[in-house]
Amino acid sequence: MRLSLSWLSDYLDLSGYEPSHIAELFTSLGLEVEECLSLPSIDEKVLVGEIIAIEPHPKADSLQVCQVNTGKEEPLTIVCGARNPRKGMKTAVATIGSVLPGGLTIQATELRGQRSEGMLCSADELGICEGQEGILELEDSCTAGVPLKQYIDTKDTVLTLSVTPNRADCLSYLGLARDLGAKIGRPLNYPSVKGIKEKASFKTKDFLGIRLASSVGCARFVGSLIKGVAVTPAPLWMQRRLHLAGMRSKNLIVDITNYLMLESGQPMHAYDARAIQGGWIGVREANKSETLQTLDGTLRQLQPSDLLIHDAEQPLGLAGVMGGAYSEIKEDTKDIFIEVAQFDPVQVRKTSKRLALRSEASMRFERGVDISQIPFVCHRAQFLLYQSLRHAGLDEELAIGDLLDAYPREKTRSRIALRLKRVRRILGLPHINLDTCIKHLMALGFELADKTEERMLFDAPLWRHDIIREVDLIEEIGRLEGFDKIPSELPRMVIQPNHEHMMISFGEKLSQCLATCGLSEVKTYPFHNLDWYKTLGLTEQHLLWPKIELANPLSEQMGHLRTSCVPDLLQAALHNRSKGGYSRGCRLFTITRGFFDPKQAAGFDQGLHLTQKAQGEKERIIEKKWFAGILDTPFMEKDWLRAAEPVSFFHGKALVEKIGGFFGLKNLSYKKPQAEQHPFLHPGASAVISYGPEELGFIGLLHPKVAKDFGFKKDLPLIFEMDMDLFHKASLDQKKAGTRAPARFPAVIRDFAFTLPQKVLYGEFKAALDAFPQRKHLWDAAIFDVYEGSSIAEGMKSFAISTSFRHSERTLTDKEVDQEVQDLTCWLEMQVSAVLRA
Amino acid sequence: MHELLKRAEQLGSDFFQAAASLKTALSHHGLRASFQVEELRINWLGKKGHLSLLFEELKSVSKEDKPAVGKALNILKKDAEQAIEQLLQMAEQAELEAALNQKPLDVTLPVSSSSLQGALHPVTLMGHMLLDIFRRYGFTVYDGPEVELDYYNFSALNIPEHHPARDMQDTFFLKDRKNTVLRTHTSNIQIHSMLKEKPPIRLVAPGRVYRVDNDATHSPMFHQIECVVVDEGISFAHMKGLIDAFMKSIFGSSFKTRLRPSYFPFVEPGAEVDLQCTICRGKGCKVCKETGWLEIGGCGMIHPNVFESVQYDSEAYTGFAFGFGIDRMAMLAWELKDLREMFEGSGSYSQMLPVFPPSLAIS
Repeated sequence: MRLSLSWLSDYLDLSGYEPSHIAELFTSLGLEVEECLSLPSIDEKVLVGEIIAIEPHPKADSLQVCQVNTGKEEPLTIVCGARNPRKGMKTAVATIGSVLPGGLTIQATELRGQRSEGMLCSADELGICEGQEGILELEDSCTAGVPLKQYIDTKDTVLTLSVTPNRADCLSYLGLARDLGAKIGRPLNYPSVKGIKEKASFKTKDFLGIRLASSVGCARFVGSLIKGVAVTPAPLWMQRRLHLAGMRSKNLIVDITNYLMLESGQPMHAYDARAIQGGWIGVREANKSETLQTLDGTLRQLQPSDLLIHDAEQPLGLAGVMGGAYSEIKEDTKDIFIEVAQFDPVQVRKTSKRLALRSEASMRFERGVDISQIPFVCHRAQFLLYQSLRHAGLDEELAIGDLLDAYPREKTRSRIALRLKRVRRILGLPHINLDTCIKHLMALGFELADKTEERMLFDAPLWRHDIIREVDLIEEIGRLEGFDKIPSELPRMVIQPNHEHMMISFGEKLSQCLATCGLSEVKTYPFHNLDWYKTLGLTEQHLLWPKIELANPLSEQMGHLRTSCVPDLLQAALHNRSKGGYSRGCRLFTITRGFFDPKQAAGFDQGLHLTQKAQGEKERIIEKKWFAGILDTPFMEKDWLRAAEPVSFFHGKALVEKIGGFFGLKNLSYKKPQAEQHPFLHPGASAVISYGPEELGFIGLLHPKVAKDFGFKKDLPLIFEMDMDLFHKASLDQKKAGTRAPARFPAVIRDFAFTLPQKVLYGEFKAALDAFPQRKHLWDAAIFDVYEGSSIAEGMKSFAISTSFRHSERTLTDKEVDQEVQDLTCWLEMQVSAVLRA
Repeated sequence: MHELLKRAEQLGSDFFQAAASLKTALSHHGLRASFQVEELRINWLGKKGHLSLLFEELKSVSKEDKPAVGKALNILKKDAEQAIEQLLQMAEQAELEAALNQKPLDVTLPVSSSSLQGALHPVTLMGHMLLDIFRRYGFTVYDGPEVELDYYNFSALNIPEHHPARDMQDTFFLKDRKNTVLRTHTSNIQIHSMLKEKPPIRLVAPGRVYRVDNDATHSPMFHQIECVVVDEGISFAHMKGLIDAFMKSIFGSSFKTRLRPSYFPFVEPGAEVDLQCTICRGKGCKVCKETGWLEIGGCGMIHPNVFESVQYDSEAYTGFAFGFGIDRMAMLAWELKDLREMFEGSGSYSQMLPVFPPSLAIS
């Protein structure tokens, strides 16, 4: 809401308050001032001028040469391009040296050979208001030669306030004046309707009736017929004020309705009375398949929930949202009907939302208007119309009808009890007293109905739809007292054991571990493009195919919710490549959630929702936590110590093992993945990672075709993705398995080379080694060479293994070790055909 | 004098001469110094060394002479050993000096690529800092769903359907699932936690939230931390105190906070939390739009309607809740300019940042 302080001072004495102070006060009341704009006066050198003669420009048809009296002996000669100058007209003259709001300095010039000693200005050029054609037309009573700013002072400050949706009343000058007045202790000055009731010369009901369909969403409908109006421009001061509010001036009638909406917060509508058929106007709900052409020219399809203003024949407007084109005020309109009403907030909201017609009026109806002031606002409209037409001398035919007031059930004010103890307790103000509470609430328009030492009863004003309970009154007291007056205290709390979900600190440690392992964290949007999943080679049947779609995505490409972080990381790696980071590689990780349909992924439930209270709990989307990473080539960039090292599967595996090791998870197993499960992985350089029977995730180079389709021009990145929940569970299981006491006595080290068939995987060899039944002192075994080549038989390979043997209480003898080695080699030969090389 | 003694005397003087000349030469031998001493030792005191051979001959010396000769030889041996020991110490010193005098490394050469440095995202870093602080205060950390049922995100929080307050947060809805939204705030945790626990409650819950908003200062995804305290006798003053305390822990004790009235349907009274501008320190600058204050979160006393929706006795218990933008705090702490840049997936973005923001160093 834009608030002109000069306008505001009509309703509240602001003397002694600087604009910046007023802005601070509004902010401290909860009406945040977002912007504070000061507007300058019109330059002193802009004078009132009287056109005393006009001649056509000898060389240009579109220009005229005016002689303008500015109070000097000699008139000024000014060339003007506007159409409306006429002899005897009073207008604004920017004399030489004056500066206009746009920064233009007026100089003497020659226009097509004709000297011009100034400029005749439009309201637009002077910054008074917009959209006015031609030069400014001043009243005849203005004196030529007097600075214009004596008649029109544009000096002002305009505050832009952010009004929260609970404060319907503050979408008006009166509401804002009331709040500020309560804060600074000054009374509200209501605007005048003086004498207007007496001006009513006929009964509106003799011409028009009001029919409210019962149970329809209109609690009060006030109207008045006014005859013999002239559809002229509104007075300049009103245009100026509408302009400051950001509204365009249209004509006197429409401008008055907008002006009063700003003044009082009550939207209203004026109809051309010719358009109302059958002698009555009413409110009803729309019928199916009914249509209405609204003011903006659009034909609207209506629905039964829409509230309509209608007459005997047809709909006239969408109640509270927008008027109809047919009944709008036209240039030749003579008789008008003014409607001031209350409409049901929910119905207005539904209609305006559905039709995407959010207007100043609908916003106010949605939040709730003050039903008690409706007749007053209607009188104000009559008053302003009467004053304006009379001032302009256009009131000869004007005849004002009295007010029709359809108000079937008078709304009563709600009575709310307020306990002093509760005020003190909630606000933490132990010494606030009864009188202070009463003073604040009365200033805001609350009425004290009763009081005892401990309790007060207040009647809430009808413009405050947000006041329902005691705590709402407490907030008002806190607001006016000032939050800065409330002390800062720390609560006293009982020490209490915490039961924090283990996954929370696990997540924190995991991210630290990944960063320590050399990966940088990225955070990305979960809004995914379905095409990414197609590129990964996934189909609709795949578990990772995104099934959760947004109804209102930012764009079609961001329409689905993530199931996997692989697309995020591939995009991130590409982003890093494109930002010139290619030669440097990148190592990234993310910890985030994938979103799944509960029907497909029941086993994925990670128990994030703590309760099951709401409807639709069974259809709740399942959120699965992943941690995932990408290593893009080079793993290490080249430097003065070594050449660049391309990314290999084993860099990734080393990483996974390191992370596993950090959480005590050592026995991870790696198996070749199935192509249909992981079509995006390189079949020869990838693995599914398991702990026992549980699959924790996968790791591998990206499939060359997928890489190419995604935009990786060369070199395959390595990706891994792990189920955080299963990984965490596995790490807990591992801890139960116990740990080995540290070694105290020296080990005996023996290195061997085994020849074995090529098809035997190291994993199988290692499994055999781990299952060695005569194991007594074998402590550790590590492979340190894998060899295939000329010195070994075709179809065979060699593993070089370094073993260590230990006893927990003494040093082993060679003899003991020799025996165990012999048993071990026999066992390995039996199990995996591994023969000790000579 | 026994002949053996004479020879011993001769050998002794030969040894000490050799030792003396080695001594003067040691510093030149540098890295080989102790090897030279070892050579001398083997020559004279080794199994086949000159002195050891003399001892062999002692066996054949007559009984009467043996004590005297033996004693003399032993003295000689002891002296020689001492001399060797001294030489050895000198040699080690010489070696050390030689080693230290070798060509020093160019310690200014970089090790960037081999250091394999990783980093946490600024939002994660700020999140961890916040959790550290709240855990010290005795708070429990909660987690909750990001895709949420309408009830938890709105209705139970005193935001009924068709209420204008729903417009305050532009919400992402799911297709074909009427009651489900991407949560617009972490306040859904208030309902989940209070339905599960009985008072007293003190918890924090960090998490991602989503709103249909995408411009230079708004990202459709951002992060909040929710804090909830419910007990008997909790007041607005307590909320002020806690907010002030934790903001000071993050930004330094010289920073002020202020609360100004605002509206969030699930609290009453409700307030916006402003932090003194970290750039201009309250003087007024572009970042704070000349106000000297930065909006950083919302707070308020939990609305009795919310207590009633979780079957808490709103007469017996009072409480407060606040929610802060973690992204916003991270941006202020590390002086980051563009919110959306944080979510572009650039790894180098995280790497630029020190783990503790510079403003902390000031405090």
